[in-house]
Amino acid sequence: MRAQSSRVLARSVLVAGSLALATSCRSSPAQHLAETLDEAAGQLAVLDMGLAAWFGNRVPTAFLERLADETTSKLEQAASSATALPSDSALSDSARRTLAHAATAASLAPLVRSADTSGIRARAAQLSALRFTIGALRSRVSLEP
Amino acid sequence: MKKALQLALGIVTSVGGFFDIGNLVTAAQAGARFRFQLLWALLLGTFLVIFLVEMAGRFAAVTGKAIPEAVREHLGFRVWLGPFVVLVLLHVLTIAVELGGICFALQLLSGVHFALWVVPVGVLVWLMIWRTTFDAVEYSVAIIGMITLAFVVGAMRHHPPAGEVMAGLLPSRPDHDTANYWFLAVSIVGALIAPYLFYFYSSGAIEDEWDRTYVWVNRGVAVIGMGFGAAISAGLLVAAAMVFAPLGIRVESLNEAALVLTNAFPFWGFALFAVSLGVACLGAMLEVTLSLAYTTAQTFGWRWGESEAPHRNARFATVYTLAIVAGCAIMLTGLDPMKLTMVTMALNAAMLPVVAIPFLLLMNNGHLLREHANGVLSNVVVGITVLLSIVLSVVSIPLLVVGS
Amino acid sequence: MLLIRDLLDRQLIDRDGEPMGRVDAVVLEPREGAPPRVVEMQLGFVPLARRFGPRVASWAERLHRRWSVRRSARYSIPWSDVLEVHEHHIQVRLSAAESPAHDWERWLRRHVIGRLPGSGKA
Repeated sequence: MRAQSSRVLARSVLVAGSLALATSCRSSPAQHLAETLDEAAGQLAVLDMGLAAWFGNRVPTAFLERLADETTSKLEQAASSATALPSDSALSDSARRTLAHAATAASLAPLVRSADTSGIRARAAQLSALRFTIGALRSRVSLEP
Repeated sequence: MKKALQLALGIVTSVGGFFDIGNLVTAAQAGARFRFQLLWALLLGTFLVIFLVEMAGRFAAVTGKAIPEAVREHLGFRVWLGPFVVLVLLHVLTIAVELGGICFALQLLSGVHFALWVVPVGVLVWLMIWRTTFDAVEYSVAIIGMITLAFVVGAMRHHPPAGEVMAGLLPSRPDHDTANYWFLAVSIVGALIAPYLFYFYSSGAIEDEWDRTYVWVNRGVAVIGMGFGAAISAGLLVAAAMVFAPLGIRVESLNEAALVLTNAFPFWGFALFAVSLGVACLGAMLEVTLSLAYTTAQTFGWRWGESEAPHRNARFATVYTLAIVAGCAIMLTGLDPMKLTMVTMALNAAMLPVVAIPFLLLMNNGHLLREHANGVLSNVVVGITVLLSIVLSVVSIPLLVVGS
Repeated sequence: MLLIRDLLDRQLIDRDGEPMGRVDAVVLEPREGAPPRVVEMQLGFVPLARRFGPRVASWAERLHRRWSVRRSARYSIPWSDVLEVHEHHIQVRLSAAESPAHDWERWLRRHVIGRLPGSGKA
């Protein structure tokens, strides 16, 4: 019984190791950029949805604040992840700048706390525009092997 | 008449008490990332849990023994020790994540930070077990748990394409994020076959004093109850597919998940999500805590029974008290509840062979079960379950590392 | 024909129907030309640990000396105290409430559970 479980464990470790190796080898810069942009697009979509719900009085203000904080930190992560890309391509540069803008635009918490509704609307418009830009950038990333 | 009532109550309990944060998180992510493609994993997990629950109930009804008692008595403590330790660990982790779910729901509703709710909720849950009877706990939570049907209604209000939904019931290969796809498939199954479900069910059958004549009630509860309960997970998966997938939202946090009903139910959507999450997790936390206490008491031959005054059952009461304290401690460390939930679900899948195989062996014991022992069909299913559980077990941890 | 299998890990029930723990070890006395005789049944963390080997047993002994509220590492129930061996449990003529089997139950009741409000103490 004990020998059997150690064999299963050994096999799991082997599988894990090889899978990890395989995935790490396969992640090219293009793939990395695509993933980062997808992640950012998703986050902007979330915030967009949250803002729409808030304007429609469907979610509480405290929730929007927390959602915005979360989105901001995720976009900041995406932006810093993009700085790890090789800096020779114009595409990567655009991506880096756009992600940094998005992170700044997403930090709505101060506006929410001071109940600056028109300020929030302006930011919402900004975020929509940035979403569009990120979408355009994403479609330019080619994923040929 | 009494049996019909037990059947109805059993179904309500299963529907209302089945859904928990594990189901919520796995279904929401699956729907958001892969639309309907992972419905087959839900179906598979549902079949497995129906069989496991039916067998646990049948065993309890016929022998008057719950699983831990039976395994220690008939297979010996040396065989039982491994599963017992694993069960304790899984139960404590699950208590922590369910507690996390309740606290998060309260944060959504009140705006008050998650961490401030941990101790008050822990005390409340403890009081519920300390002061009330088993029936009161089981039924009250199950009935308010029916609010989780909101996910099914929400899904339908989005008019999902029936053809695609049906196609999702068959396994298919993903066109992106393969590792994550398989990780979610394993986690969905892990959330459905969480050990506390069939362990609690077996002790619950004894608490409800089921005997041989309840074998058909048991079958009804297992199939209809678990089936309907799984439908709630399916509802959430479909809703997430309709709401999040088109926007590329990956549901990486509970805050994202909280938006799932805000379109289907314009005014109440947010509150429905929060209440559903809170109530489902409350029910689950009560069940898991009791399941741990039952398992420990039965292992060591103590008196056990939720309805007894704690004074008469000091060891039993100490176990559930310590379990809640441990759950609170884990949640207070600041670990992300969603991430911890995913890890726990993967561990459930990984440990299924350890916690289920000893019990499945007993289902063939003709001496114990006589004419109610497993027939050929049940044994075929058991065999497949055992094989599947070993496969799940081997792949789940690597997938956790790579695919999440 | 009584076998170890019928005794080990079985639930013990006392004279009042109270659960009294499980049989953790069985002590036999070998006899010439006859099957061994059951001398006593033992309850306790230490006899249970002994089933995993002598090293585990000595570790358990150390734990017992340091932390246990029990007076003795093992509680022995002589075979003569057994009233009847049923299919699923063993009935003994002792009272659990007065025996060392409930050492922890009593200790916890006094120091932990009894001190919390609403525990049902009369």
